[in-house]
Amino acid sequence: MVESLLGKRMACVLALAAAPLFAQSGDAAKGKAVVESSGCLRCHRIGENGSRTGPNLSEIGDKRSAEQLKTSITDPDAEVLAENRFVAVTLKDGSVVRGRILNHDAMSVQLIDGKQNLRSFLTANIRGYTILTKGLMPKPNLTDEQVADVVAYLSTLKGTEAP
Amino acid sequence: MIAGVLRPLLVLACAAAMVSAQVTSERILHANKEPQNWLTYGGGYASQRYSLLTQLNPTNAKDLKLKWVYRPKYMEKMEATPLVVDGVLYTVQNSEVAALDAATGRIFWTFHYAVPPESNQYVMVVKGLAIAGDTLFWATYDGHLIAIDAKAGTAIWNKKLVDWHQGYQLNVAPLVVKDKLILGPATNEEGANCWVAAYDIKTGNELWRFYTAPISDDDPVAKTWFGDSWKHGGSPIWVTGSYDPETNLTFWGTGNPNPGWNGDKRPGDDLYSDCVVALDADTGKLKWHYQFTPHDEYDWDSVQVPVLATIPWEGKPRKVVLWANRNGFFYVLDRISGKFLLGKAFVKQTWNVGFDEVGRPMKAPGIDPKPTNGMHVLPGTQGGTNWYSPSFSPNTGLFYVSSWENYDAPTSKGLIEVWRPGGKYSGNSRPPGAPRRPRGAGRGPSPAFRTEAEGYGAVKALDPSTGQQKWEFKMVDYTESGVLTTASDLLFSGGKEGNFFALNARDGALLWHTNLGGTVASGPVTYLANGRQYVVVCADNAMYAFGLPDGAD
Repeated sequence: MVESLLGKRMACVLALAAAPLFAQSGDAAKGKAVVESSGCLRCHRIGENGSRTGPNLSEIGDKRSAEQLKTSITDPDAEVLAENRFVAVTLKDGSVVRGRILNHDAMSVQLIDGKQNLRSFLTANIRGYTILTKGLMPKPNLTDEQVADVVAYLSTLKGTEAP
Repeated sequence: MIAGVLRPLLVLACAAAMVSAQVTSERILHANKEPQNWLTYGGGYASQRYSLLTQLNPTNAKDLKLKWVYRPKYMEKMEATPLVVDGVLYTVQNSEVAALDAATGRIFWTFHYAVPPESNQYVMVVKGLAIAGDTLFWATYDGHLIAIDAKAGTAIWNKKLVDWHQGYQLNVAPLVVKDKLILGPATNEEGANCWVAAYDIKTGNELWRFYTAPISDDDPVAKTWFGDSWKHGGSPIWVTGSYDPETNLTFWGTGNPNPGWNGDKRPGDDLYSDCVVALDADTGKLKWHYQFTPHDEYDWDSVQVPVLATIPWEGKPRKVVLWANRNGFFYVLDRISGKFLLGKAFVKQTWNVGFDEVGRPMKAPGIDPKPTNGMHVLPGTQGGTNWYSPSFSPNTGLFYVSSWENYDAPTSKGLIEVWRPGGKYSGNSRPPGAPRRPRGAGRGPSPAFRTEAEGYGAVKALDPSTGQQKWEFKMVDYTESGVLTTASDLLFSGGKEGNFFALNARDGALLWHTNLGGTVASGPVTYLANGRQYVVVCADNAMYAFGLPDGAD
């Protein structure tokens, strides 16, 4: 199960954003605290903090509207961008390696696993693999107010300019 | 003394004789008697891309090693099928022909011709050369046919066949039949009416011409268009045809009608777009035709290579044309009469619900696109396959084709542009206010993340007697590679992933592969040099040769 990789506690965000009014209704500072205390960074990365396994949120405020961000929190399966898909690789011994898919072709598959290792498997050396498009992020247990706060915070993430 | 002087002279004389043997019409006719060479685009008049060489086989294919790389100084993509004649390999990019030592890849000579970039606004790529006698023939993108001395690399003559300012291009590898060069111009959605023609090998003078779109109201097929829509009907030629010496017929596939995505001005069948035409090679007279996609609004050019074969049919051998079409169907046609024998989908398709008794397709209800509705159709505009050369192995009896499976793209019927010479005339211009299509929406997600359901490339093996798929070798990304088979039951192909691989032609098992770091979009060929078998293929803008390690059996 993908959840075993991500951890049910990892109530995180992903992808998507909201009408400006929605974003404005939340408190970005409170949202930042929610993100940092709810395990989001065990999968996601913001700036220099968090994991590289899930989608990087450092510039998510530029990429997704507030409404999309809200949807991605309250209904994580509603829209998963192709580049955020995961893959489950079944090895010859039956064990499974999961992670975010980075590439694949007729001969091999590449991913970043839960420990942030870049890994590559030859299809000849595995039983097979499945690309996972749903169930990648558990729905966080947040109040409507907390969701609004998180969306407000994420909407402020516009990346940083190179010095 | 004397012997010491004579020996080198004799060796020199023998070597010279080997290199200088002219490629006569007789040699091309019997190309299968010299499998050490690759004399025509399709590996022989039947275009089977099947080699009788067996030095490489399913047992030793795993030992294949890189022997040499040829990287031209120009960065243009290479899609050409090379020719190999007695140890010399000839290849071409859009602006340069090169003669290489087939054993080492070292250059004997290069011949440069500057093609104006404006003549190639879609950056299309020349598909190959032809050779007759000691002369190479290159049809250039800006409309010239150039005869080149195969030994010296110098021009013998240069004849302008078409005017690119009028919307014409040449990118096809000519077909040599007796004393003629057969080829035709393309038009890249520019509404220039095209043709198949024969040109004198010695002079380049035109000997006959068969129009693939009408040029006058008097032409009976003008009635298959509507009004004067035939005037800008296109129907280009951009992949080499085949030749049957028994019937003296040459077979050519024709491209889509113009405007390609909007047929409202041309409500008929639009002959001879999307057809195979069987022409008398001496006169150009039409013997028969079959139209794969009447009134095309999906850009399903029928420029695939006609593969000629004799297959079991209802208990008897039958001479046929095998054709996996861009519209997603595999066809078997009688080679002599053109009679429709079989049409069977080789990829998922949604446009056709069957064929009538003469083989005319019956379109699915509601499948005709409307402007801006972006109706999805399978296969999408790039088709179930395209120009990539298929292969037929008489040894396995199977037909092999590079295919795009689960490829679903929206139609893009739009406004018809006002025709002007050399201007876009595609019928897919965006109406004012209509939303812009998302970039890449027609091909699904990036192949790096794509699932099988969202589309994949494959080499498919089909039983030509039934059209049934025997096996498929799946890739993640789509493929533009040709297919090569050998008498030892090897199959070579590749794809956009950059992989080049050898399969067992009987079951599709992967025997060997390597990654060339760029799209494989050419047809691999095989030959002997110094008694050793090589297989070469182009990826991106380089050519790679593989063979067994030195000293291997």
